[in-house]
Amino acid sequence: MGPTRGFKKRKRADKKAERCAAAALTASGQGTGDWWDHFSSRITGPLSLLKEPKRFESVFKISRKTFNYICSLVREDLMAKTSNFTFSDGKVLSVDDQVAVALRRLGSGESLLNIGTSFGMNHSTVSQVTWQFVEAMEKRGIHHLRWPSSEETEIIKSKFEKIRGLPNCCGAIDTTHILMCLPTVDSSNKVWTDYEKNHSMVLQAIVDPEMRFRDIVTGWPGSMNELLVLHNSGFFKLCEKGARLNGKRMELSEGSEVREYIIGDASFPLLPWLLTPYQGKDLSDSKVEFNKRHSATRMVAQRALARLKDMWKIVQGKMWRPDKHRLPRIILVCCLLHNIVIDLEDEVRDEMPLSHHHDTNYKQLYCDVGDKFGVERRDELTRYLSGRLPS
Amino acid sequence: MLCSISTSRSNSNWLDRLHTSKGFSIPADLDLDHFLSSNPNPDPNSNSCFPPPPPETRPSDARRKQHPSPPVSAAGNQTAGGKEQIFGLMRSALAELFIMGDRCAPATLRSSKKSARKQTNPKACVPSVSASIGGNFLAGAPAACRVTPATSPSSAENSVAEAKKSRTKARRKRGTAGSPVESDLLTYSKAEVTVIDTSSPGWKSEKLIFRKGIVWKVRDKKLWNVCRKKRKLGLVERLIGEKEKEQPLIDMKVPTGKEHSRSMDEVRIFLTVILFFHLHVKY
Repeated sequence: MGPTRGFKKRKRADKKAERCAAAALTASGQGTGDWWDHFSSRITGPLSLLKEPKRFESVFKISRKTFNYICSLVREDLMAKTSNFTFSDGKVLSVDDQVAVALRRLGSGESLLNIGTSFGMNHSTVSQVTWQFVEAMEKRGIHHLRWPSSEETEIIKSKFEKIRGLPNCCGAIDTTHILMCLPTVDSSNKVWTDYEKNHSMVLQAIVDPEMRFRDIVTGWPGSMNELLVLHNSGFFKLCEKGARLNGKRMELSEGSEVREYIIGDASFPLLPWLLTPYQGKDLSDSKVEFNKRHSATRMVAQRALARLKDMWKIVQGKMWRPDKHRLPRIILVCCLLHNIVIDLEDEVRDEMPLSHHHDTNYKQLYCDVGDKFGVERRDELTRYLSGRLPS
Repeated sequence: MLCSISTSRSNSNWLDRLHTSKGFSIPADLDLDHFLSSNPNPDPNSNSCFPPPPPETRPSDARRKQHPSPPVSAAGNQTAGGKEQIFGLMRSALAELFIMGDRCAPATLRSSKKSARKQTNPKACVPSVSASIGGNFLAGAPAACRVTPATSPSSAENSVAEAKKSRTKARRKRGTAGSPVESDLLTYSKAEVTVIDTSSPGWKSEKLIFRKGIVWKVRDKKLWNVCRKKRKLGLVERLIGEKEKEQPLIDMKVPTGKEHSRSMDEVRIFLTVILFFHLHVKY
């Protein structure tokens, strides 16, 4: 139980001058020595038992360069906040301290209490600092997650083609579930129960060949399947209107060309702009070949989601009764951080293992919805890939 | 507002008090009960005792139509016909606000022992509510555009029983408006979600999900964005501004505004008629 309001007020009044002075000192950068030297000396508890607790990357899973960049993004917003957060010893948290606490919370997924113990602060401070960071990041870092420009799209297409030869492909789409721990007695939570009987929130992502998120949709309950989430997305509406994936067509052979499209697994509908693999047994060789290429290219989306969960563990584990209105914003910020690591070419990503299992224990779903033009496009592409199109 | 129909005693008290509080003086020879208990200009086409206004006629329209006529009668040396016209105006204004009860059985009404402190039969303002919900609903979920003819907003406006039914259902749903389309959703389980969609203008929106088995209906909950903007939480302000422009937020706002303006109009017409009546009596 937290302190009473009156107590807080008195405490604030007592230490106001001290905090202001400390904040001013921090803001002006007059502190002595490196920030990390001071901050790492505070680490106690289980975190201090790490192999290399003094190594920055082992605590935050990003390089110092990326950390400094993130601090620069949110510095203005965090400094503009009137609330001064303090460590247990009364020292005011600098912007770097706040970013460090928030990144640790998002990156480790540990409880507020554990993080508070590790850094010597109250768990409620950890919660507030993290949320302020989330708000600042979605405001300042949003440009790291956007649909590519036409120039960028051309680069993306060529990179996708290099993977397994799929021409004019602009992205790979996939869906994952962010698990939550909700009370089952509450019937209102039924809508969050997915087909594997877990409470979850859906994250749909479209990924480029470098595993960068280019479009995300999140916040829908786990009981909504891929088709519904896609159908309700802005991306779907834009594509149906012809306002997206409407760039340069690629000529496959004389009189035959392919428009821009994305690829997704069998749980998505087959559309003119969304190609899915062939379903069923006894497929022809050319269709099997198409499926192989399709699967290999689509792997980037699975890897991206697996890395997202691996790196930002707050979205990996089962969150204990999360605020369902805040969780999508936390997921968005994790996606932004994921993209920042890629954009800044952080070396830590090379150290991370490549996995493509982001939704373990979830069975593959199959969608029977198939658009006539989508079928034609896929068949044409299959013929092209098997070399059967007349040149 | 006090009940103006249950007893004759309460009628005069209620109007007396109203006039006193507004500083109006009422001549003693004026029988105010007459306004409420008699109909000087009965409508022969109407079966009901106090017919509600036509669905298309909003109080503001009525005001525009009715307002010019009083000066004509005022100029007419206070003839009996002129008085009756004023009575008619006054009573129609009151009828706009309240369900006036069964004129055909005044004895039954007047036999009630105690006057209620509040109006027992307040008139339900269903149509504007249903319009806002329906409009928004249709915008949010194309699949749910099934609006049966029997449950059109205009029919709801005319049917007090239906309005009461809707209101009862709405109460059960903790404040959701009692439109016919809405009541159709009562059998659905409802959930509010915050959705982040980077391809939508504004990126962040609040949705209402209605689910019944495999049937899903999704509806925007746009008012949330306005509040959020005020509180300056979340995404870039300019993106929120963009959303307001591009999303049919106005669809939601306009009916709400109409609803508000309607009730304001009702009060305005009521006060205007009283004021006119006051001036007319005075001069």
